Amino acid sequence: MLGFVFSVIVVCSECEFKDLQSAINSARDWDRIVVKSGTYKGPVTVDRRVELIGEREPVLDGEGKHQVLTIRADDVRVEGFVIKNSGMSYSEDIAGLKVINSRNCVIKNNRFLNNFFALYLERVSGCLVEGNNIVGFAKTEGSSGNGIHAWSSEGLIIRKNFIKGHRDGIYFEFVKDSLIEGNRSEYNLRYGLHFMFSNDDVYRNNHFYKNGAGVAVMYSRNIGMEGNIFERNEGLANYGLLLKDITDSKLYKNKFMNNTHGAYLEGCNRTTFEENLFENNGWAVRIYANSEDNLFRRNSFIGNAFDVSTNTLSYFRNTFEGNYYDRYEGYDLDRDGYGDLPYRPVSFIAFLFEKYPLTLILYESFLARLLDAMEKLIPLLNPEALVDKKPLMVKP
Amino acid sequence: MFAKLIKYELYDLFKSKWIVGLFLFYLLVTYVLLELGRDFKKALISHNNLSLITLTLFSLLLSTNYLYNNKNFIEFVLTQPVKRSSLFVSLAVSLSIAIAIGFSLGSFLPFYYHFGIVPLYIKTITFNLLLIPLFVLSGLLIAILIEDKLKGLGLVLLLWLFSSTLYDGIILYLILIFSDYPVEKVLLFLTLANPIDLIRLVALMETGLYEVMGFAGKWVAKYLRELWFLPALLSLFYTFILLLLGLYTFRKKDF
Repeated sequence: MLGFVFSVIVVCSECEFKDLQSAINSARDWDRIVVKSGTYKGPVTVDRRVELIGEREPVLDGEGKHQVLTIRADDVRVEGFVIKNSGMSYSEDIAGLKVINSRNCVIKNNRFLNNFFALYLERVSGCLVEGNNIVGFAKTEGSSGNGIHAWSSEGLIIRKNFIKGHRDGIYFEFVKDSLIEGNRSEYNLRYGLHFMFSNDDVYRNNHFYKNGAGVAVMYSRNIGMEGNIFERNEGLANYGLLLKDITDSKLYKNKFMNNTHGAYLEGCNRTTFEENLFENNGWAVRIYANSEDNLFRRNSFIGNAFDVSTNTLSYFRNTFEGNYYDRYEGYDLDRDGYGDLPYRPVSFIAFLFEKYPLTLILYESFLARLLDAMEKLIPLLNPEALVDKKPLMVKP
Repeated sequence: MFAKLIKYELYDLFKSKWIVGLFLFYLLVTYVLLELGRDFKKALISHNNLSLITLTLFSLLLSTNYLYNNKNFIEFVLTQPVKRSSLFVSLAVSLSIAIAIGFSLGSFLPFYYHFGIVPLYIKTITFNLLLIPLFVLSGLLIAILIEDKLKGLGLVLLLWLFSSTLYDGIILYLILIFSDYPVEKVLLFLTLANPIDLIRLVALMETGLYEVMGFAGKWVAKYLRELWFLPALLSLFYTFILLLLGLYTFRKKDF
């Protein structure tokens, strides 16, 4: 009876089973299939609850024609494989590994190489994706898929993966109650991480480096963002973090470094920014007028060309309170830790630039400094509401 | 003869407190910038901005003043068998050398003290040096053209104000007016036509800030990256034109 529960099937070139599909066909639920190293051809479909364990990195090759591995059963584990060369299709989402209508899958320590979509999760719940190394060779956005693509799923845990060279590193569409943690996503054409219509998710301690944009959160609610690093997402219209039509989210202790835009807020409401670091960005924070009730507290602004920029003079309904600005020139006579003079984080030239992008050729010129100094004395152009009444004197 | 003239003029200049003051000024300012900021790039940009403003002013004032104050010396030299052109060139060269030494030593020493040899600040200081002959020649030209010292100094100040601020003001105004038209290239050209703006942009490029500046930054970078030699070339070109103008007026001038 026990032997029946834990039976192990071995696949190798000299074994009884020489290819993976026949091994799966003869396996029963809860079997373990051990695949020895070697190259095996796709496509392979898994339709029962089995564990696929690769020993010394067996290769599953799609030969650029079809989907390599498809999983249509619950409780499947895939570990230690190299999955490469899936086909490419403009009409179908072909992937290196696709999981469909499944629960509790585990995808661990695999390498995905040169796939269209690398890992595709479709109507999946409670899946763990951990320690995978995903490398694509995307050239244009149209001809490439995403690294980890999740659609209409819930309860996913995506942890400690490395993703490079796809369209989006990780893409969430209609995914809820999921966690993305400790991943590194770099050199992706579009976004390092992309949320669409996904609610109640958390991503933390990830590193987004040199993507088209670090992270884009769109049309989503209640997203937690913690301890992430957004670095060197630079280019004509590039963002560390793009927030578009999202509400009730929270950013805590993230680092934005050397991005063209640190955080870009469009239609972003009731979101809290706390203890984040904005360092050496072109624009640390860019807020559009349709963003309301956001709170910025205890953030640090250091060495940015512009701390805050906005397209409105009159209607600004966000709060800046107790942030640290390296440009602040006030003093603290009563020694309560807060500067005695309010700080206006929008500079004159930042406002001019918002309207006339070309004025940037005058950045750091004597005239621009003069105008900024004048603006401090005679505040005509600053949005009246955009002021930090209690700027911090030292970095939090 | 030419070398002898330069020798005497340099000797004279170093005896005057001007150059020493210039040296001390830059020494102090650069030291304070580095002490306060403790951030290399920021200090570098601040230093560059300050140099663009002050160096031009000092070059103008010093050269005009020198010509006004040493009229007797010039008239005396001209009684000797000395070519007028070589006298004028020697004036310009010795003034430029003196200011360049004061400025570069004063700026270099604090940077060196804090960071040792870093190509970046050496590059910026060198780019700043390009401005000196330009404004020395302008100052000399004004002093030759205008007899009255007060008027001459007034004109010098006006020229300084124009090149450091008003010119940018005009460009800003043009940008606001023509914002709906594709005039980027014209405006870039106009900006580059002013040596002060030119060197400011180059310094911004060098410190790498443009990478994060988005549209305009990338766009300026695109041109200045390909044409990295342009600032040096343009300043040399301007210097050459001013030199010709100066020579012509100096020859015509009745001392």
